[in-house]
Amino acid sequence: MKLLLKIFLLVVSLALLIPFQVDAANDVTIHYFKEETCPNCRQASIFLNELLVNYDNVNLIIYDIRESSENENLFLELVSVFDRDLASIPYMIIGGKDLQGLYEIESQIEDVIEYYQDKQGYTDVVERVINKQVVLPEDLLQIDFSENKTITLPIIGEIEIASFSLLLGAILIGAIDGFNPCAMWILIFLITMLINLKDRKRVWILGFTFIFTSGLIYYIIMMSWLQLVMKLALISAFQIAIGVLALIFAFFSLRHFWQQIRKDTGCEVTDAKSKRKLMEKIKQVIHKNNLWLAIVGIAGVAITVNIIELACSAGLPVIYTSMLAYHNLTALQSAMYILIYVLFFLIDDLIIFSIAIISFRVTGISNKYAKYSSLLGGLIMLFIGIAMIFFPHILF
Amino acid sequence: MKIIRISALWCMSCLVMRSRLDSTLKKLEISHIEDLDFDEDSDKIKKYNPGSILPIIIIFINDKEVMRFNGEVSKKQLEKALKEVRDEVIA
Repeated sequence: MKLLLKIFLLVVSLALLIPFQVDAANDVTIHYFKEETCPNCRQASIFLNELLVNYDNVNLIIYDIRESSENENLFLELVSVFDRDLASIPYMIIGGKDLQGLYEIESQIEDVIEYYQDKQGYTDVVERVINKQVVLPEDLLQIDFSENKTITLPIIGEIEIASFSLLLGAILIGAIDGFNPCAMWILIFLITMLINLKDRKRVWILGFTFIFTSGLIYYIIMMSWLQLVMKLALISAFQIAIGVLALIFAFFSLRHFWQQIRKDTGCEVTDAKSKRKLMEKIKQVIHKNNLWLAIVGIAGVAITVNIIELACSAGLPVIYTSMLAYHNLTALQSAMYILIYVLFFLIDDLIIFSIAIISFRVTGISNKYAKYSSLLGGLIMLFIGIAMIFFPHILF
Repeated sequence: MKIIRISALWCMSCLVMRSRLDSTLKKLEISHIEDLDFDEDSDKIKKYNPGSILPIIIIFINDKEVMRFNGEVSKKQLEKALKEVRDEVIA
């Protein structure tokens, strides 16, 4: 008995000497690049402070990119390492994963922290860059933590929720923009004149040329504006300026609606002299014997009309492209959204044109829809303007 | 009864109203309508004081203007008004 007790005590003592390997959560370091006057950075900081209360093993290193050129250079080098199209803040890196923009940070950072908490001996890419060490492709984390944040739409399939709002914006805002009658009258006149020629081939070719060129010009203008906004997006005051611009456009749109509802619905006779000049030009062009000359002439008319009439609807495309710039999209993604916008912008033109081709007569759409498009457009811009200034996290 | 319709080739509301008015006139068996173009017939339309909203539909009885519509009007409203005028003429 005594021998058994001694053996038992010996075994217990030896067991106590064996170190137990407990898998404790790793310490995780967040490298956070920001700038004092950046409103999204302020939102991100508030979000982070609230989040980190729940974690006692997360270290936060903050780099103000305006405070020193070293911080700025480090930031730019990391943007290049992670192959981002846009050097925008707020920007956070944990291990080999970067998160750019308020939306990405708010929606993914918890998942990234928890991933690295469980990962033994991970590579901290920021430290590698600071120490001038080579960053290998395998050091960058390829996991997409936004994978779960999708919805499934009929026909289109799975789509990220953030992308969905941009898609909906492209469709809705593009369609509302398209109901603006400013350039519509030219298409109606053109199709009427072409149908009077009784030449179905000319109706098809010249009508299509006009619509295609109108869409192309709109697309080019929106892409150019997008490039400009992307360069200016880093300036925090620019976001406020866009918000103010949206409010100004909202005011003019809603005022226009208010003025229009008190009048009869119809075609307002404005600028009759320049309208007649343009109509004469169209008559000359469509009567050209050489079809190619007529095509070039109609394309020229479309370019002229759409540039002149851009002021009529400048607000909506400007505001939409500004929203795109703040979403940190790739060049291809931005181009796709603008293309969708333009397609829906042209939808009423395409309907009128299709009916003209099929029935060989011109059908109009009531101008009351144009009035309500001013109201809807104004309300959308009012919402976007207020959100951009006071609640940007709703939009990005 | 005489009806004057002032419209323009570039005016969408004119297209909308054309089909409404034509079908109403056919239904009420009214055939006397004169079409004037705002741009081509600017001299002729001056005497009718056209205003700034198109289309304009003016109804005359014995060369006296009895009714005028500016812009888009619903088919129901158009039919009711034209029927009243037609019945007045018949009476």
